[in-house]
Amino acid sequence: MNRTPSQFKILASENVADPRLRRTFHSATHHALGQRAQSVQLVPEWEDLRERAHRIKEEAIEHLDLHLERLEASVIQRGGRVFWARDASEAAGYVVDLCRRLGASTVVKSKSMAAEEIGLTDALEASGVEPVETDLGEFIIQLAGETPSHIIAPALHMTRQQIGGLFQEKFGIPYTDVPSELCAFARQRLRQEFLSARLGISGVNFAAADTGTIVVVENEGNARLCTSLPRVHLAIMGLEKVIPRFSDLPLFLRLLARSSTGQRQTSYVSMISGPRREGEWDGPEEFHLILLDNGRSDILADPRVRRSLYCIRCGACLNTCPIYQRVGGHSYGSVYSGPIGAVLTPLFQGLEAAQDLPYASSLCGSCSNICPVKIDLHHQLLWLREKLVARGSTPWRERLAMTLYAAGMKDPALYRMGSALLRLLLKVAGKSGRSLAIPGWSSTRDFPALAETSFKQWWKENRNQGEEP
Amino acid sequence: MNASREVVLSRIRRALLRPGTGHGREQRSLGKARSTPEHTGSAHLLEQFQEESARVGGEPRLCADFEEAVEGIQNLVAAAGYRRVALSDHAICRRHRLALRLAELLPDVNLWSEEGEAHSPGSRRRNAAQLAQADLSITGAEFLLAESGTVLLTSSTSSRQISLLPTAHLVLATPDQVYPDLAAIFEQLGTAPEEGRLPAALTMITGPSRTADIEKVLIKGAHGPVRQLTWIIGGEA
Repeated sequence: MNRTPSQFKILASENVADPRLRRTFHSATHHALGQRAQSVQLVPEWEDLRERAHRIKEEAIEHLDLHLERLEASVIQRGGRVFWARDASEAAGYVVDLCRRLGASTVVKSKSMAAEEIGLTDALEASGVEPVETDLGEFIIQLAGETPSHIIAPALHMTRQQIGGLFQEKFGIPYTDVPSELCAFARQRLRQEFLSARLGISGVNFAAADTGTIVVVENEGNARLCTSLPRVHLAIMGLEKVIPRFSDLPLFLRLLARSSTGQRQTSYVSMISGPRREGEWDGPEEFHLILLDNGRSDILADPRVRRSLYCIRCGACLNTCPIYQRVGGHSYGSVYSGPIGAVLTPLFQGLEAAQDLPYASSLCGSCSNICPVKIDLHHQLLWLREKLVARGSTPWRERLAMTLYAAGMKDPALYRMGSALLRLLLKVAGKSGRSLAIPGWSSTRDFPALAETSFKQWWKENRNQGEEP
Repeated sequence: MNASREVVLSRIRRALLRPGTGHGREQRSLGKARSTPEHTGSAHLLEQFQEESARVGGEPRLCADFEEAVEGIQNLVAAAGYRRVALSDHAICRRHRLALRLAELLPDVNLWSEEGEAHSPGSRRRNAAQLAQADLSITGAEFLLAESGTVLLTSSTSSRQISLLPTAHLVLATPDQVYPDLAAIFEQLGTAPEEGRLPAALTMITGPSRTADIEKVLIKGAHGPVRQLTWIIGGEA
C-alpha cells in the first residue's frame, strides 16, 4: 500500500470515517498518555530533566560535525567500521554489498525508523536478500504488506482477529486470535532465523561520541538477538542520534522510557561498543555503523526548524496530538507521523510534496509541552506554514480571504463595512435555509453564527445602563 | 572511510555556517544531575529494587546466604519441571562451585556450563543452539539499579546469549551491587573513555521480555526470557 503525504486529506477523511480505527487510536493513545503521566509524576525534577536534555541535544546538533567525527574515531578505535551515507540509496547499497560479501541470504532486523525511512527492506528484497522483521509489530505489518502506523507500536491499527487471520493465511496454522498464542508462534518461528542469520541489523536510539557506544532500547529482546547472535552486526542511525558523552545516557534513558511507554525502564537496553572483544564468549565479529544524512544536513541549515533534529522518537507527541488521535498514523503517508512527522516529512520530502501536513495541527501546543527534549513543535509547524504562504503554495481563495481580512483588520471603516456585509450575507443565506458556503472550508463545518448586532452597536445602546439608578 | 564522508561533513559545516574544522568545541558546564546520595546496598535500596522489579513482573528475592540460594534453585527447577539448565561462567557461580553442586543435587537435569567453553565463532553457534533449548539459565549480575528494578550484565563476565535464549533467566547478585541510579553505576564501572573499562556490550535488563504490539495487550516472553528472576544473596561480599 503506497501512501504519500500529498494524500493527507483523503487518507485522513477515510480514517476519520472508520469507527473501529477511531476507537483503536483513541484508546491506544489515551492509554499510553495515562501510563506516561503516572511515571512522569514520580519524577519531581522532570522539567529540569527536559531542560537539560534540550541543552545537551542543542550542544550535539550545534556542533554536529565535531561530535560525528569524534563518534567515528571512537567506533573505529573499538574495532568497528563507519560508513557515511549521503542518501537512502547509498545507505541501502552499503547493506546490500555487505550481504553479498557475507553470502547472507536472510538478515534479521530489529526496529529502526532510519531503515524504514530509506526503504531498506525493499532494497534488500530487490537484490535477493530476505529481510526478516523481528519486532512483533513489524513482523505483523511486514506479513500484511503494511507500513507502521505508530513509531512505538507499528501494528496499532490492526485487530487481533486481523492478525490471527493473517497468520492462518500466511503460515497455514489453525486460526487463533489469542495475543499470547500469536506471540508464541512468532517467537518460535523467528528463533530459527536468529540462529542462522549471518547479519543482524538494528537501529540506534543514542550514539555516544566519546566512547563510540550505540544504545538500542527495546522490550521484546529481538534487538538483543539481532545484535548478539549473527556474525556481523550493522547499525543504522540518522546523523542527529549522536550525543556528546556516554555519561549523558542516564538522563536520556529516563526521559525516553517514561515518555514513550510510561515504563521506568524498558525491558532491555543494549549499550554496544564495537564488536566482540578478545576473551568474550560471544557477540558479533564485525560491527558496522551507517551514519545517514538523507536530508538532515538541509534541515540543519534552517535554524528555525533545526530543533526538529533533537527528536528522540519517543512517540509522545503522537499520543497527545488531537489530530493524530483521530486520523491515525497512516494518514500522514510517511514513515514519521504525528506532529514530529508533520514537521519532518515536509523537510525530508519537500514542502510541495507534503503541503497539507503543517496544517495537520490545531497549534494547541500539546506536542511541545509533552516533548521530553522540548522541541517547540507547534512553532515549527507554524514556520512551515509561513514558508508555504511565502511561496504562494496556498489556494488562491485562501490568499484572497487573508488579503481581505488583513485589509479589514487594519482599517476601522473597512472593518465596519465588512462586518455589516457579512451579517447581511448570513441573514440572506439563513432565510434561504442555507449556511454560508465557502469552498474547501464549509464542507466539514458550518460558518459560525454572528450576533444580531455588532458589539460596537451594542455598546452604544447599553453603555449607560449600569449608571442609571 | 568513504567518499561521502567529506560530502556529508562539509554539508553540515555549511549548514552550521562554519568554514571548516579546528573550531574549539563549546563545552557547556551542565553541572551534576540531582542524584540521591545514598549508600549502595542500604536496606532502603534493596527494598526499592525489589518493589520496582516485582512491578514489572520480575521475580526478586532475598536469600540469607548462598545455601538458601542453592536450595532455592533446587525447588525452582522441581516446581517448574525444568529439564535443561545452563550455567554461566560468572565469578559468583564459580566461587561456589555451583556447577558441581547442582550436578549432585539435580541428577536428572541436563546441566550445561559455559565454563571451559572455547571462545570462538564456531563454539558460539554451537552454544547458541544449546542455550535455545535451555529452560533456565543462571548468571551473575554486575550491578543492580534500584530506581527501576534493573539488572546490569556485561559481555566480559558472561555471554550475551545465556541471559537471552533460555525460557527463564535467574541472576544471582549481592546487596553491595545495588545502586540508586545509573550515573552512580557508570561512575563505579569506569565508563569514561579515558578509563576504557566499557565492555563490548553492557546490557540492562528490567523484568522479563515483553510486548504489547497486539492490541496493546501485555504479553510476557516475546523473544527473550518469559521469566526474569533476581536473587540477592546476603552474607556475600
